[in-house]
Amino acid sequence: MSDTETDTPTPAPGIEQLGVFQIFTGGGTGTGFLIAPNLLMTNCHVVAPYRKVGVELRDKRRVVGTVRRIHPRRDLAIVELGAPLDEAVLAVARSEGLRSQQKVSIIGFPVGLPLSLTEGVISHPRQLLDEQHFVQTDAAINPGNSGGPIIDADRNVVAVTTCKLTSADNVGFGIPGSDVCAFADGFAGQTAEFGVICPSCEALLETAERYCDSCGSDLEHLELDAYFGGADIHPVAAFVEDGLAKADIDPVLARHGALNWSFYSGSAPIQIWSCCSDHLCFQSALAQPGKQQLGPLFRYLLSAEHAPFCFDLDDNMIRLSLTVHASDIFTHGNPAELVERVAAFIAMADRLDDKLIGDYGCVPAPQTRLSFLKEGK
Amino acid sequence: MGITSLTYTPPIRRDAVGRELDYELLEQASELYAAGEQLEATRRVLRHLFPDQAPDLSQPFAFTQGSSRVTVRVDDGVCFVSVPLVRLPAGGGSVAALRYVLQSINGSGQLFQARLRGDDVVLEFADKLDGLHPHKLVEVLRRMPVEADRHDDWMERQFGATPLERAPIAPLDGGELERAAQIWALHWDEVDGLLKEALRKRSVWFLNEVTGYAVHRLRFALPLCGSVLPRLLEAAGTFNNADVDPRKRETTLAKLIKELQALPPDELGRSLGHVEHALSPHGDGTPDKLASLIGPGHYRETIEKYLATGYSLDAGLAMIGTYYYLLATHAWPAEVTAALKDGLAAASGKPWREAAGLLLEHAAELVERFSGDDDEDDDDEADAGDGADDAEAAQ
Repeated sequence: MSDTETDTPTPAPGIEQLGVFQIFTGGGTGTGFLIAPNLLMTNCHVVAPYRKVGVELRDKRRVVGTVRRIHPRRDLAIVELGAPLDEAVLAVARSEGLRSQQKVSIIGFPVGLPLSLTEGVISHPRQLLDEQHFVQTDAAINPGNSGGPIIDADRNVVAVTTCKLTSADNVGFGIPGSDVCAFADGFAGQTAEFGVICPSCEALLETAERYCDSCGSDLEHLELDAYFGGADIHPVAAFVEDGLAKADIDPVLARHGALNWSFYSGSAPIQIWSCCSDHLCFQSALAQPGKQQLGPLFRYLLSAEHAPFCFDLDDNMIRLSLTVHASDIFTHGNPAELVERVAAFIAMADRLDDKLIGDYGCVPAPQTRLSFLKEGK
Repeated sequence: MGITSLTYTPPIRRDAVGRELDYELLEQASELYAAGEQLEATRRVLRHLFPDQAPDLSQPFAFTQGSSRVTVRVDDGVCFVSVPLVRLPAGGGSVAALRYVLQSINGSGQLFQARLRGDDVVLEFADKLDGLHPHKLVEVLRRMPVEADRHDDWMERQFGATPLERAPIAPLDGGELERAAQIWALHWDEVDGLLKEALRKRSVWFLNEVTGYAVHRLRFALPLCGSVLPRLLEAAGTFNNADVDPRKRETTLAKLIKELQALPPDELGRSLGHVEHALSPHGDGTPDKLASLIGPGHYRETIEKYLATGYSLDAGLAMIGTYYYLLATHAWPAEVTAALKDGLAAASGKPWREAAGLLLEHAAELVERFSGDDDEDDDDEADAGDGADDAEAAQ
C-alpha cells in the first residue's frame, strides 16, 4: 500500500453524525458546523444581512438560529441555536502544519443536495489573495458549500469553505483554521448580543457608526446599517411572509433563498417561488393517483369549486397550485384578501392530501410527512 | 450527396399583420385602475386590444382567436373570461382526456386554468375587478386562446373529444391545397437532408439551426391548424429544446420527419385552414428585434465567422432559418415582411456560400433601413477580468 493511500481520510460513512447543518435565509442557502453544541460557524456571506436564519436538522425540522457575530472581511459568522444539538462538535485546527498535497474533504450541502462529502488535496496551504491568506484546495466547491468545514484525515477542521474561482477549474479557497479560532476565541470573551468585527483592527463594533471607535477606520463601505438593521425585505417577500404569518408559519423557517420558500403545512410540502418577473407560484405536491377511481379523481381535481386554486399532474404527482400576478402584489385593491388567499392555500394543501388519500385511494407523495396525515397513513 | 441549397416558396399562410395598438389607452387603464375606477380600466384594456370594437361590457364581449371563441363578461364586480375547449368523450377515452388536461393544460405560472363544467372542459379565468390590473387582463386575453388553440384538435384526434363552439376555419382552395402539398413534401425532404448533415457534423450549433428551420419555415409557409400543429409542437418541445440530449433531439426529429412524410394528403388538408385572429398571436415585430437577430452582435459575428472559415452550410442555414423565424413568429409592418421575403427569394436555390453572403448583406441593409438610430447596447460586453476578480462565493 502506498503512502498516499494510507493518507486517505476516513470515508464518508458517519458524516451524518458530524455537526454540519444547512442554513437557510432569504438570500440563499449555505452550510454551518458546530463549534459548540449550540454554536454554528459559517460564512458571513451565508447569513448577512439576516439576523435570524433557519437551520435544518437531520430529521428535516428547521430551527431558528440567531446571528451573533459577523466578520465581513474574513467572511465568518457565528450563529447561536436555541438549544444544544446532539451531533458532534468539530474541533478547529490552527492549520500551521498544513502542507501541499495533504488530503482534505469538504462537507456541506452543494446545490441544495443532502449532506455530501467531496475529496481533494491542499493545493496551497497559505495562498495570498486580496491581501489575505487562504487555504487553496482542488476539492469540488459548489453553491451551498459556503460556510462548511474543510477537514483533514482526523476530521479536524483546517479551514472554512468560502469561495472558488469561476474562471478556473478546481481552485477553491477556505479561511484558515487559525483565523477561525481567533474569531471564535474573540467571541467567547464577548457578551454583546450582536456585533460586527472591524475589518481593520478586529475590534468589536456594537453599533452602526461610520468610523471605528478603536482605529478610526472609515466603515462606510461596510454598510453597517444593513448588518445592524437586518435585511431589507423585497415587497414580494413581504407579501408572501404576511401570508405565511397569517397561516402561522414562521417566515424565518420557510425561507429558501431569494424569493423562494419551502416548508410544511402539516403533512403537505409547500413551495413558493417567483418563476418570472410577472408571476409568483405557490405549489404543493400532494399525492399520487392510485389504481382505482381515476375518472372520479380527475373530475374532482378539475372541478370549478377549487378556484382560484387549481390542480395539475406533474408526471404522476398531483399538485395544488396558485399563481399570483406581480401586479396584484403592488396594486391590488384589497391586499388583505390576497394575503388571506395565501393563507387559505397553505391550509387547503394540508387538508387535501388527506382527502385525496382517504376518498380517492391516492398514495401519499414521497415528500408527504406521513405522521401528520389525519389517518396516520 | 449532401443538401446543396434551400428553396423558397411563397407562403400560403396569410401574412400576420401587426395591428397598431394604442398603448396610451393601456397606460390610461393602469391609471384608472390605480384610481379605483376598475370597470373603466377594464373597458380601456379592451379598447386597447380591440380598437375597432370598443366593447363597453354592458353585455358579454366575444372575439375569435384562431379556432377559439373567447368570451369576456363582468358580473357583480367580477370579470370572467372563458374559452370552451372540448366535450369529453364517452367511455374510457375520458380518463385519458382528463389526465391530458391535468398534465398538459393546467400548471403553475398561468393565471387561467382548465375546469370541468359537466362534461365540458373550459379554460377559465375569474377575478374581482378590484384585483384585475390591466396587465393581468392583457396577459390572460393573449395567452388563454392560444393555449386553447393548441389543445382542442389534439384532444379531438387523440381522445375522440368533441370541440366546443369552434370558430370557423376557412379551408384552402384547390390551388392552395396543391401548393401546400408541394411545400410539405419539399420541406420534409430538405429537413431530412439537413438532419443527415447534422448527424455527420455532430455540432449542437448546427443542430439548433436545423431544428429551428424545421419548425419556422413550415409555420411561415402553411396555415397549420388541425391535429398536425400540436403534433409538430409536441415534437418540437423535444427536438428544439437545447437542454435535451442532442441524440434524443435528433431521433425525435427523425421520427417526426418519417411520420409527416407519410401523412395522407386528406389528413394534411384537414390540418390546414385560414383562421381569424382578433389579437395578433405573434410577437410585435420591432426594430430592436430585427437588429438583435440579424444586426451587429454575437449571433451575426458567429455566422460571419462560419462563412469566413469555410462553413458555408452552417452560415447559410443560420441566415435562412433566422429569416423564417422572424417571419413565422412576429407581425411586421408590410414593408419589412416584403423585404424579408425578398431576401429569402433571392437566396432560393443558391449554393450555401452565395446564399449566406447574399443574406448577410441583405440583412445589414434591412437593419439599416428599419432599425432607426438607437444607440448600441454595450451592456453585454462584460469584462473578462483576472482570476482574483472572478472569485465567486460558494453560497
